[in-house]
Amino acid sequence: MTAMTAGRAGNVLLVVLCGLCVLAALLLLGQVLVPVPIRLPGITIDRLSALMALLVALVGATTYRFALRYLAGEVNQRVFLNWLAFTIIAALLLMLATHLLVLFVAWMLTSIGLHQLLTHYHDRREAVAPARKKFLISRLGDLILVAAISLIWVRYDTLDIYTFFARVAETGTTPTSIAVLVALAALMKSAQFPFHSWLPETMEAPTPVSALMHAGIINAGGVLLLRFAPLIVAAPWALLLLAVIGTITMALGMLAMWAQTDIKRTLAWSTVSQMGFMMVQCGLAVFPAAALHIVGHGCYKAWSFLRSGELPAGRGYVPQLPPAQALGWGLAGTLVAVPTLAQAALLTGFNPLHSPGELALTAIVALSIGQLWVAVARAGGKFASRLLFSLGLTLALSVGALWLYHGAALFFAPALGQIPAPTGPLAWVAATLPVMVLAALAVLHALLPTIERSAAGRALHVHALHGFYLGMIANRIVERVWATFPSTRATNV
Amino acid sequence: MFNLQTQSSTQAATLPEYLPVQVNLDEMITRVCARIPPLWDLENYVAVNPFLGFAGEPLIATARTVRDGLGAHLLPALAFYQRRWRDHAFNAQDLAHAARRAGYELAGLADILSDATPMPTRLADPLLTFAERHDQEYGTDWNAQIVRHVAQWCALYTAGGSQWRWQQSAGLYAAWRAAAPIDRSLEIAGLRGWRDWARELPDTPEAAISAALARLAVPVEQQEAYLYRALGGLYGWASYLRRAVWQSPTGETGDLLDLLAIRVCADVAVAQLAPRRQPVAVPRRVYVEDEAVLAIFQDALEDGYARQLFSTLAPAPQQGIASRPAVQAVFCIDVRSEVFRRHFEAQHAQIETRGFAGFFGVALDWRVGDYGSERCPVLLKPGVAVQANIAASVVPEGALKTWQSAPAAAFTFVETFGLAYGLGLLGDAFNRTPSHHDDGSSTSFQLDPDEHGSGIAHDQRVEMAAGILKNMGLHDNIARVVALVGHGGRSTNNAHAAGLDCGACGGHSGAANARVAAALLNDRNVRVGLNEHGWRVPADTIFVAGLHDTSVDEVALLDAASLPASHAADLAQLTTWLAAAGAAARNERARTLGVAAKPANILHRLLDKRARDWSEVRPEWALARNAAFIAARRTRTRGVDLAGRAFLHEYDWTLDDDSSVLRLILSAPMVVASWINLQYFASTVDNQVFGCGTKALHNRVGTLGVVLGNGGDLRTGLALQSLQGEDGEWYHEPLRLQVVVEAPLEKITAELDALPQVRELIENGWVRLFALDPDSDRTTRWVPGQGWA
Repeated sequence: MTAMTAGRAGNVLLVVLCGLCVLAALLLLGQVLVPVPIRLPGITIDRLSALMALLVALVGATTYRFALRYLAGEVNQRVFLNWLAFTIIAALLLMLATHLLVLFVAWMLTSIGLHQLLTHYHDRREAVAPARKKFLISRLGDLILVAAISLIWVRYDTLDIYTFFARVAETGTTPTSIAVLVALAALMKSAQFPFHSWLPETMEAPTPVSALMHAGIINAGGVLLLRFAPLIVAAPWALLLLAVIGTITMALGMLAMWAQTDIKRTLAWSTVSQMGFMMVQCGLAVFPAAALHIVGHGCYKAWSFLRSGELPAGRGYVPQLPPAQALGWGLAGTLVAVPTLAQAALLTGFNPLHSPGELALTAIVALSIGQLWVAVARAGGKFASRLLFSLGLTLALSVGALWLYHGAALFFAPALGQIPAPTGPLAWVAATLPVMVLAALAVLHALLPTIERSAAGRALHVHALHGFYLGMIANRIVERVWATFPSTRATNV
Repeated sequence: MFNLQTQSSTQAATLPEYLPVQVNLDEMITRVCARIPPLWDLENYVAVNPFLGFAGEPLIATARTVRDGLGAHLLPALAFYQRRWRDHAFNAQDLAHAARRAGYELAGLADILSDATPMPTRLADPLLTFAERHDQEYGTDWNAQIVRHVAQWCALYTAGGSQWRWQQSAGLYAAWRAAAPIDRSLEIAGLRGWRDWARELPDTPEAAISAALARLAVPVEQQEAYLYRALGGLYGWASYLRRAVWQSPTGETGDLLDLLAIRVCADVAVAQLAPRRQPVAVPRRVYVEDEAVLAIFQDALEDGYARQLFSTLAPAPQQGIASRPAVQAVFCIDVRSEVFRRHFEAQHAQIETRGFAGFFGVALDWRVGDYGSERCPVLLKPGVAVQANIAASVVPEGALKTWQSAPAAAFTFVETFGLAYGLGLLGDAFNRTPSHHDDGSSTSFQLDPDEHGSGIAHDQRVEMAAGILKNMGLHDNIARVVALVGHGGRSTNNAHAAGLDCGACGGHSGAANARVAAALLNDRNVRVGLNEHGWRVPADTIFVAGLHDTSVDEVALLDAASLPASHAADLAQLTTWLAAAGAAARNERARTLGVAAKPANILHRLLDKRARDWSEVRPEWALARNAAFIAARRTRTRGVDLAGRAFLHEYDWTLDDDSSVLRLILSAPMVVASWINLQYFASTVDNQVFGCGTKALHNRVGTLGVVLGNGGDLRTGLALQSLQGEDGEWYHEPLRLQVVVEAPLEKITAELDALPQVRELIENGWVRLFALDPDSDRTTRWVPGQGWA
């Protein structure tokens, strides 16, 4: 009977997690009604942290509930569930932390818990190697974060993030080194190039782990940046770093995602790409949009992983359009989007011309609308009905997206404070780069059906399938590094 | 109506004991490929006998071949039999009889089971690939890396990426040959010079295999074993490719040949490019438990089951229901029907049930929009197409799907639609998400012929209706209400959901088949036609379709609104009986699922919740524990508790003068049952090779199949969770199919002579045949090599 069900303890933990969900929801509700941040020792409850906590708690409780039945009968289900709950609670703390010591401890605990979950099937050779890679990258990230925290401690004599900001404001100069270190730590935590490759290789862990990791834990880097937004925004080089690395990761992830043949790796590469875009948004200093992205992506990705067993309904694969048609529809859609978005901006109060970042954000929505036209055309039907459908959706999406961006800015303002919009030449570089890359990707996407006629196209496909070999190269390096450690540590951490 | 003789089973030629020195490579490749069973995609996931390619060979010899070739176990290990021996599942007498049939001394055997004597072993003779030998020698993992490489290539070529398909179609090998010089993955892994090496690959797969065999210096007499081993490492993908050609009468190998070529070329690459390439030592000698002895234990264990089974059958022939039955219900032969039928018949003495393959003789191509699904046994081709009436979708189908992975759009998508998925998560967590699985139980359909080739013409209808009645044995004394009850499972988020559906409907729900069959038989003109052909279907008889939801054990009547009002009272009575039978069946089933006894209404809700739970990995046990196939009059089994382990096919030999019905039963339903049985058997005995591992790691490749975790070979067979309980104990017990036919011996013998492929299955020990004497409770066993004994 012991192994029959997860038992009473399993249900108790579920109740605890559901309780945390309700608590997070209540805190968020409180913040919505009275937007005054509550500072507690080590943690702060404001609209940002309450929303992130709710996301982690919701995804966490759902994955836990999922694992209760899904892993019923697995040998170590009890142990797995305990580590799952441990990791969820640690991640929850991480979302709330504003004292750097609390933040670092939560950061470490999350990582340790996740490592246990990733090596659940430790007898599967394939499970161990990516987990080790992840472990090493995390420790490297820890070192960088420790360096940033040490600098803050040494130079500003505080570990409280708000005290730190206040003292930075007093001095009047921005510590770029700290900003860059924080940005680097965030990049490493959120699986950004070239430290991304463990993420698509962790499918050797049970499905609930993927859901939690891709929807909750991977956001740690983004949340760190949101917390440090007042610092980052004043350091143009840190912003550029985020935008460049984010753009590379976004493009890489997207190309690799297109080529993947199985559902879970497709989803994982999609996460890489999405996290890249989130970093781009941070680099563009549109932090409210980044927060919106984290929440939307988290819900979508958790749902997708947990539902990955479901067969696609209907005919599945939709035939692609000939490149000329796809380009035509895409261009038409983008062009129609421009005046529509302008109108939508007036309607919603979102001002694209406020900063390079917001302009870039709007341009990306225009590109998305171009893709919408392609997608509708691809699904088939009469020309007139396709056009009508596309026009209607264009209007809805323009208003919807800008309304959400504007709403997010208003919503997160009490938590993020007044963030000045960066406008220097570096900001324009950071804003132009991702838009250009996405436009290029849109053209490439249209060319996919015929791209293999050229040797370069075939090569791109093969390389994309392998994630451009970055994972394999990293594996070779990890093999060497790990081999220098005693084997007892290798098997047990 | 349907004739399987030309299509069933396999064309595997028996292998000569010693291969001639000058062996033809093409023939050898064909033989190797013929040993791989076909694999259906997830939308049509039907059970396949993993040893289909060995039907012409004895079980013990096959056990040795797969042990040496695939490193797989065909028979359970000694420990299993020892446990069953201690459980008294079989006794000394069973063991004695089994030993005598095998010509083995008894004393030794009992001692082995009680651990007093060591188990006899034999020297295994595995022929390893070069990479495997290299790995053994140096502790590398080249073989696994090669398998991943080739598997990834197969996936890319057959399934393609979510947005990006491989466009070339010159064949698997040609495509790989073109791409291999681009692919740097194995080079980075340590095969230096891979790309230069790949540029020199031979033009054709045949040439590549021939060159590889020469390069690796595989001795001629070992080549076949080597090739089998090479293909075995990619058993799943090989099976998937095999399906395209498995019915080919000429023994075509198709892309399977290409796969083999790629696989052996990659093996050569290890030999030529791996950093350490000194000649590799001879593999270590391995002793394995002697399969011949294990087979005796298996036989004895099954005797134990058969003994208990025969003791429950009705001893003397009884009279059927003399007066006109209140209702006749035809169920699928599926083992799950047995439980329901038993409880249904218990509701009233005037209820009669029959077993027939759940497609009811309607080999259907069910078309929804422009999307057709073949709803008939995979041994058949659909004979008729029927179009479902659906309203055209307003929203362009698939547009959102395309949009959400397009550049830029992917990001806007999660920001605008993402929050809605939060509600989706909540809906899932509370089992509130409605299933959009269309099982064909409610959409109306068009029976009249149309210009697209769907529909059934009048003459064909009469012919089909007559065939259905004949094969179901519905001659005289037809009830006022005849229910045709198909079945389907209900689960959500289950990649192998088709495995819970009706195998006779090609891994789909049987609802559409039952509805079409009922519509045919209710057709006024058909009834007139039937009477002209000498059938005596009373004018007041109506046929009603039903669907047995096997996950909840609930039978719903379909299209009942279109039936005449004159039968309303009969249908209401039928519904009441079905509901009561469902409650009793649920009660019985719930115990096996580990659900504690509950009041009927709560139990129903609980099982219904399980079926809607997206995290449920054991919505039902499907066909687990299947062990017997009984073709007899229901009077022999009525009221007997067969514990949901027996396929029940109605067969009354007195109505089968020309033996045509018996021939059909032996060549189609019995063969399908043996496929299911051997799939469960093999997945239980060696889940690593023949099963598909734990669902926790399942990773779908489109709708093709699943791989485990990061990738590798496509997995076949059943998941661990379909065979093992939550307590970690095996729920399924690996017993071969005990086929029991109620007919005179001569009649069965004559059919065995007429059906060489069925005879082969029996002679080689893949199923065991028993004759049940129509006039007494005597059973006679067919002993392979000896006949009736």
